[in-house]
Amino acid sequence: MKLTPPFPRAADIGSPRTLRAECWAAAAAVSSLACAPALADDTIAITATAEVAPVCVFDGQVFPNAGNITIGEQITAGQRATSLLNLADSRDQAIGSFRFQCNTPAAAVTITTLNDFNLVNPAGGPAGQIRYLLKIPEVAQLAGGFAVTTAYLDSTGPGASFTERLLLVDVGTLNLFNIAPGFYTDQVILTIQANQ
Amino acid sequence: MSKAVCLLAAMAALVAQSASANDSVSVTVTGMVEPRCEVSGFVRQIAGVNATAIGIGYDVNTGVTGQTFATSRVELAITSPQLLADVTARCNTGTATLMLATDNNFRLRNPAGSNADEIPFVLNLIGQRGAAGIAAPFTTVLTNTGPNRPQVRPLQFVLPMRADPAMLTPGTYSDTIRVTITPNP
Repeated sequence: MKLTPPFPRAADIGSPRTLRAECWAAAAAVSSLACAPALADDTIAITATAEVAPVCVFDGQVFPNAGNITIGEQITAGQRATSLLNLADSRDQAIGSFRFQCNTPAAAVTITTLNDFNLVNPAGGPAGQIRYLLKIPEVAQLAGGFAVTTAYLDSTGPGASFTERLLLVDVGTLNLFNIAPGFYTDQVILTIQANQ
Repeated sequence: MSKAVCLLAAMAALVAQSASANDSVSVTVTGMVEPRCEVSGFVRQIAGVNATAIGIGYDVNTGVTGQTFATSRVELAITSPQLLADVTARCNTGTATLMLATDNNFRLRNPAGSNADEIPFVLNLIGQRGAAGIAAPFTTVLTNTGPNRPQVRPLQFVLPMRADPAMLTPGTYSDTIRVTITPNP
């Protein structure tokens, strides 16, 4: 009777001991990875943004008695106050001042009045109007006294301090005998706008 | 004679059986799970307004990291905290390191402006001890991070003082905050 080995020869598959040694080698390699593991981190980015719009802030003083600049009433945007002119005085009369601070290199001041630069007495009829000129002496377009409605302002920001300007009224020389008695009024509205 | 052959044959069979019982092979199957963290953010596109929030970073539902950046618009006129985002760290390690840094060193900047146009701010990491008023690159350790224990930290933007628009060049001011989570070995 011929005896047959119950297992393949080692040369056919490699010896079990050799195979086991390869497993140990693989395990050792994995272990070495475990000893110096790659640390996978993760990142997100969040951008915080904010918008700064062109802006001007301003306020003003109104002199209750025009020409007397030592007594002023402080007003801010949206407010109003009254200045009493002396119609017998042909000189420029300061009715108030305004100051502004903008974050743009230039700004514009727009001046409008309810009665289109006329002092008006509602009961005065056709003779009840007194034409006048508004002046901002330090603003070129208004230094000459013309009733220009928009003028450009410089010396603005960003970061500039407040700039102050006087607002003058010139009623010229009036013959008061030709003017009906009563109160003559107009309302001056100043708007400051930041220019880009 | 016949008995002798049988005995020999039986002995041979025993020997063969014995050799077979002691022979085996062993294959070890291994897989490696590395220390890992994923970070995601629920970013409010308008700071403090939850309805505008979007998710960025790791998506727990798909297991995929999508867009990793978003923008949040903050208000310059208030000094109260403004919630930018909820930041979530998912790690498989017990602790992880959270790092906060910004591109402009914690200042909103306008590319068209000057250095004077910077708006300094601080960050608060809610629920993390010692993580309030952060004004410089910051590192902190998150504990109890996992596995399967996501840690959420709301991130607040705070202006120490109101920005004065009159002192700033008009335009968009921004800074990018980078949140990085690293697993601790």
